[in-house]
Amino acid sequence: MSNFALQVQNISKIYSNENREISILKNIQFEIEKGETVSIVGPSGSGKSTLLGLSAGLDETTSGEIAIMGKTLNKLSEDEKAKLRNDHVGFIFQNFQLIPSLSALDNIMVPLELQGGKNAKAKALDLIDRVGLLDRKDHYPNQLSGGEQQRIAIARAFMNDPEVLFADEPTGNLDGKTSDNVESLLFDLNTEKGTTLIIVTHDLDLAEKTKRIIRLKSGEVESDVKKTSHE
Amino acid sequence: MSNWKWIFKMAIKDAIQNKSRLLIYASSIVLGIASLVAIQSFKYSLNEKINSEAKGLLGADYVVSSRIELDGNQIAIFDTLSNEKTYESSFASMLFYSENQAFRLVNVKAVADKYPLYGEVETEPLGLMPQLLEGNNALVDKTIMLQLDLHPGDSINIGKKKYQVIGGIVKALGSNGIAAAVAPPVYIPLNTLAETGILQVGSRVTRKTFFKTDKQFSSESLSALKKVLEDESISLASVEDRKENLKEFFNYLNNFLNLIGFISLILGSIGIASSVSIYLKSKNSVIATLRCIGAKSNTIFWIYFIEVAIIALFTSIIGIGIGFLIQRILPLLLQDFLVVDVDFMLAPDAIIIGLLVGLITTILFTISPLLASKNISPISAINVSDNIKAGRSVKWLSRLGITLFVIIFAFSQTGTVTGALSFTVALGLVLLVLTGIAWLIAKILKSKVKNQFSYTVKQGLSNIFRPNNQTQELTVVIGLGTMMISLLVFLQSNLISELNVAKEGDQPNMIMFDIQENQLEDYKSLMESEGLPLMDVSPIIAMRLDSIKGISRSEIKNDTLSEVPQYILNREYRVSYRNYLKEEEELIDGKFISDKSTVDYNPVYLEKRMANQMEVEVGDEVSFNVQGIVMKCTVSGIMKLTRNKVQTSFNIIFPSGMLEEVPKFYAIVTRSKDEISSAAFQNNSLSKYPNVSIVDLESIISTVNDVIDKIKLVIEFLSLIALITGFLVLIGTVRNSKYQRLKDTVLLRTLGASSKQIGKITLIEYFVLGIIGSSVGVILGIILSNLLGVFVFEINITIPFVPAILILLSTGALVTIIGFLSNRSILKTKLIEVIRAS
Repeated sequence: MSNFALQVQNISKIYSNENREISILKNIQFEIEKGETVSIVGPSGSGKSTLLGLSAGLDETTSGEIAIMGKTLNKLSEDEKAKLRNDHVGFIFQNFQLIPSLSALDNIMVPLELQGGKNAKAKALDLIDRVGLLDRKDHYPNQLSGGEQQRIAIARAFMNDPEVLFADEPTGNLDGKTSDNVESLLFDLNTEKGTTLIIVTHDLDLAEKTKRIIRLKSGEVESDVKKTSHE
Repeated sequence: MSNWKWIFKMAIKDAIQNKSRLLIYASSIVLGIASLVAIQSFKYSLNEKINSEAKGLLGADYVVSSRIELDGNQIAIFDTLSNEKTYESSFASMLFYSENQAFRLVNVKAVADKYPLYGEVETEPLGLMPQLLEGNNALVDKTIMLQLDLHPGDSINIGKKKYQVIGGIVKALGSNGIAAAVAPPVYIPLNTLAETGILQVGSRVTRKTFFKTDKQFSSESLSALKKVLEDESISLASVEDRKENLKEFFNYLNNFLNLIGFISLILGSIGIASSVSIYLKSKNSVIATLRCIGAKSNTIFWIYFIEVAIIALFTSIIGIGIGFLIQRILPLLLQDFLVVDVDFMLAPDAIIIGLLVGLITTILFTISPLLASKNISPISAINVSDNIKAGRSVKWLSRLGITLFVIIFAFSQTGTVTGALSFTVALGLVLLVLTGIAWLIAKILKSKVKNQFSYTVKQGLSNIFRPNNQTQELTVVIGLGTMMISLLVFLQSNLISELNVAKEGDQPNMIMFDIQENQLEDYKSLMESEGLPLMDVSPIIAMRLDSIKGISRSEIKNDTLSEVPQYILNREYRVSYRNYLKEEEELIDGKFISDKSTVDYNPVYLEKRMANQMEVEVGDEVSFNVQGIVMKCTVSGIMKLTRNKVQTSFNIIFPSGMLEEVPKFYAIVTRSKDEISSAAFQNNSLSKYPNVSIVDLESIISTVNDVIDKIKLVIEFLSLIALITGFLVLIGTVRNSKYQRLKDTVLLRTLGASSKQIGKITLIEYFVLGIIGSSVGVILGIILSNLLGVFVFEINITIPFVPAILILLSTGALVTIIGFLSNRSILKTKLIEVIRAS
């Protein structure tokens, strides 16, 4: 069994567009241990979101290999990757990405229901209570504020007890106070569940709360700094 | 997949959340399904009624019909099986009401005791048939009684005989309103017929004997007997034959109605396909999120497949409900064409067809965007990309499926492979033309729209070619809808004007027929003495078909693969001969031989459609049974007939020198100066030649107008269904495009665009699309109506300019208004809601 939650080995990503090739990521290589909290930071266009997408198996690398929980993504079909995400991965998006036709509670239940799980409701109720929105469980996303939507998204992300949680600018759309609440919730749940947390962010304050910061610049790793403890 | 329950839940929840949007899309197919269900259900109810009342419609178990009196041997064949029988002799003649000096061509039915053996002749007051036979009584069609101001107790003349009218006929045995309008029935007792003096040698009388029996012919012995009788020009009809004949007639009507309903459905399906495609595009981020969370591509496909199927099912049920409501209207519209009163029945077939057709068309038309949803990458949840398209193979497979479905449906309606393929190819070509035009317009605008325009004009025109445009879908829907409407309007106006018989000038306005050979010269003298010109004198001979290309009539009838219609084989033809062709008889193939003695074969000239139905060309052999003698002929020419004035018109013409010796009667065409001289001549003719029937223009025009009004009503009803369908599809598609424009509009508003500017952009986009779509639709309508005019109706189509322009402008305006209004609602949407939602 691998000790690594995520292994990124010498990956590159090139987009071709009308006879032009744009190199987004170049020879990226790092490994993230299970339970580690990591921030990927860098200026706009540095390739942060692309790296997150590739790491989670949402997109194909041009070269190099990625493994989640020891399983190499390049060898998996789209459906196998989906299964892997459903079993081991959680997601939090900058724009929340709740399903508008489902209530808050139903949104949280989705990952477990996809697996055909039987106790989805009880667990979802527990999680929605944990994020402080039990009284809003029957509300639809358009009836919730941005902060509330992101708290629901966090609850959904923890629903399948993921070993790895990817968060793409989780506080990017939120104001300062709401950001603080969401961050606390994210780290509390992470500590409680022992999840590996990988955050893509512009927010250096948020990044400072993780044990490790990988800094990207022009598609390359500029620095990779590990800290001994949370500040 | 183990989580079907969840997939269903997702599908239902999404459908409920988006119900108003989805129902608008689906409403486009509602009327298509409704018209199919209405027609199918009507057919079922009609067939049930015909089955239950068939004996009453025939009036007997078996009916033997002939032009001649049956001889002893022939009667003996039936006497062995018959318990009870009765008789009817029917013929066209003149009714004269001396009180008002009024004449009317009628269908005289002279009937015997016990008539009819089953069913009834509906009279007013009720139950007058037994009284009819008690003296010199007559029952007269109630419409004529109204027209001539006839009342019970008044006297009328049929030939030389005077009758007392005892009441009106509401419905003659097995007759419909249209038949009664052309030749209204008059019943008289059979034992008074001789006294009318009408019947002469060669008179066109149909003699029927009605048999009631407990015994049944087996189908084999019935066929054998029919064959023997046919050789003697006697026809035998059973209850089953009557049922089949009636059903066959209504099948033509049903098929025509069904094809119109089907076009509405195709139109609606195109609308729903484009709507679902846009709907799924709007679901990209949801799908991508689900994929991120771990949903498999098949799971995504099934969620939206089930959602679309639920909506299709729901729509089909609404369509079925509306269909049953329309079915209640159809009998009222078609009552004059029906021989039975059709009751409302819930037809199981119609329900199944409505559900299946609704589901199949929706799924076939939406499978391509549904399968494309499988290709949405989870990365779209982070970096949204809209360009999700179904693979080429999926697109072609779905197109193939749609084509096969259209062919199968068209085949089930037309019954011929040629008909089904022609319908499918025509529809395919129309769609191809519309798609091509849309592509061309977008291409042209893309290269021409530069900075020379103001911002709003540039933006409005750019919407037509830029990504996420709806140019193709809207052009196809607007074009197809406008084409259907203009096609119906053009054909209707041309068919009606074709029937508007010339009233002015020196055109003939009176036809006398049934003039016997020995009466001809005296009759001509009578006409000359009254100052009536002999504009045309035609000898008329009755004959039947004996064989086509050497294959006997009975062999063709028994050949299940033969496409020669039964009525072509069974009917009695009235032909003429002369040494010239008239101006209206244009020879389009072959050569006219004026005198048979110049060739060593028997030439015959056939009307084009009849030749097509007989499946013969110039040079083929056709034999006729001319009053017992078989005459082998060679098709020497094909004629195209123009029927636009009062004249004797023949589908079969022979040259001189072939039929002069055969017993015949004559028809004469003339023109009377005015109604007074016409009435005086008719009075004179009737008293001297009671067997001669006269038709004058006024009565033809009023009868034809009656029939046209009834047909117009049916056509207008169907046009209304097509129109409403087109309108619904238009609303659905245009409203759908609103979602395409939602983000743009909100962004423009956020950046400070005024409502006026946004309104102007919308107006320009929809105005251009509306005018282009409706112009192409009207042009296609003109092309198709001309093609149908030449190949189906054989008339020259003149496009009514004003209605064509009106259709073009009103459809264009409608698209612009709907587009403008539905986009106006975006302006009322709260910006924050849209931003949050996106």
